[in-house]
Amino acid sequence: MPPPAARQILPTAKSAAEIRADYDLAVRQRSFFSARTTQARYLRRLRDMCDAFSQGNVSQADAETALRAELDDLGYDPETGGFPGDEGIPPAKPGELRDLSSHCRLDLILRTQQQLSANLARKAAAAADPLGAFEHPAWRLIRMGAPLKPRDWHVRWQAAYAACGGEGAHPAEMVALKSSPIWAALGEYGEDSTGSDCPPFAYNSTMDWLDVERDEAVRLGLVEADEVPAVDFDGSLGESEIASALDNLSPEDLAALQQELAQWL
Amino acid sequence: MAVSFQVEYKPTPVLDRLIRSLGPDGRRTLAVAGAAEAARNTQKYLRGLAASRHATAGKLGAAPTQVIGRAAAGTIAREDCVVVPHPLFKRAFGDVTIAPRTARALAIPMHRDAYGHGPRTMSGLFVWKRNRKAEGPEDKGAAFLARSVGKGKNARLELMYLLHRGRILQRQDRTLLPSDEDTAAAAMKGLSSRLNTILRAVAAQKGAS
Repeated sequence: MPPPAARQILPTAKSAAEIRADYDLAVRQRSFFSARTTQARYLRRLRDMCDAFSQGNVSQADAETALRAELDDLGYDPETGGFPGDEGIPPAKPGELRDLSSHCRLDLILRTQQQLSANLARKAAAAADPLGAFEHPAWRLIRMGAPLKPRDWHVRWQAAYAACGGEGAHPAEMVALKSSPIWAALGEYGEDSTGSDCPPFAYNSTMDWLDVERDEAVRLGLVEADEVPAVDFDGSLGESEIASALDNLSPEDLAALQQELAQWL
Repeated sequence: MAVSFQVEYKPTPVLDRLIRSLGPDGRRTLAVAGAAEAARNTQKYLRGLAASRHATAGKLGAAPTQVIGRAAAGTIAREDCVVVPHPLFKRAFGDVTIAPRTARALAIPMHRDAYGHGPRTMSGLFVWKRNRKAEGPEDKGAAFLARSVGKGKNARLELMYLLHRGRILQRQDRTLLPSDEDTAAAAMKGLSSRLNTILRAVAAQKGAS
């Protein structure tokens, strides 16, 4: 799934349920949309604000203020059914989730996109760092907050596990290899799912990922203990420099270094 | 706005000599590995904090805002820094002064329904001033954002926010983030893990050739 800034604007008068039913996953993953939001100019502003907020360049209060100003400028009125010229969009009570200018709507969008951006960055970092992926080959799905009404993620995990044939995933603990298709399956489970293959998998979810160390992945049977890391030293200047420096150590210094390193592992 | 801090550590003697012998790419590779582990450590720390730190919500009988949990979820490493996506964590590094920006007063939640929500998100609020000495001379003239609940004889006033003119100073709270020692230990773990992995890869390639 590309980050928000790289996704195509998709204006739509459809509701969230209609979007899920009518657009396939590939379209939803490469598009930037919001239910019942027909104005491309507003969607572009929303996308830009989500990006700026996710990068830490604007506060949530300032992002919400800017977005409300844009909606005002475009003549948005939740009680008359949206933007001037909109058809078929039911009126919304001011302040509720269906009101595009409400705090609860904007808060949900900004937080969801922020969490998604952070996890897309983690995925990209893992893909660009084969040694890092060797050291931490899996993710654990874990709760990061204390919601009032927690969803049953073990049930969702079991369903996603069955949907992908358990490939690269543990059947009981919510741990799977970073390459496992279970992550995409989780993002498609339930009407509240986001369609993402990284957290948040559902709207308003407090679930996120933690890296799992190799030893634990071995203990869970997800990787083999005797696997060796594959490094293209020609393609990686940093690793190549380090390998060369290690090679130049005397046997005594290498032994001393390994003893120093052992105290941290 | 995000808060970022550079990951610092003191390498042990042989490791220090090794790092000094590296060029910028080698040093960067180790610094990034160290920061990545420090970010993981910070995530775990914040997750623990999110489960326990609800004093204000508890006092008001309100639902926790999940701010710390969300910050845990959004914490990442960027080069040799850890980035925590919420301005609350500035307080870990020093005193913080909170002042109204566009409004004339700060709105401090006093009711569980107000906790975690700004006054602009609530409808039906009005300014109410306390003109009698209720609990002390300092209360005279105190202003609130209030709402009226119920109708007719059953109508009652609910004080939602205290309006505080001026600034509020919040003292540094270092416990909002892992200690420097904790972060340094995590960074050393990240570096050590990376060096071990490279040693293993080199040994495997030598064995194969």
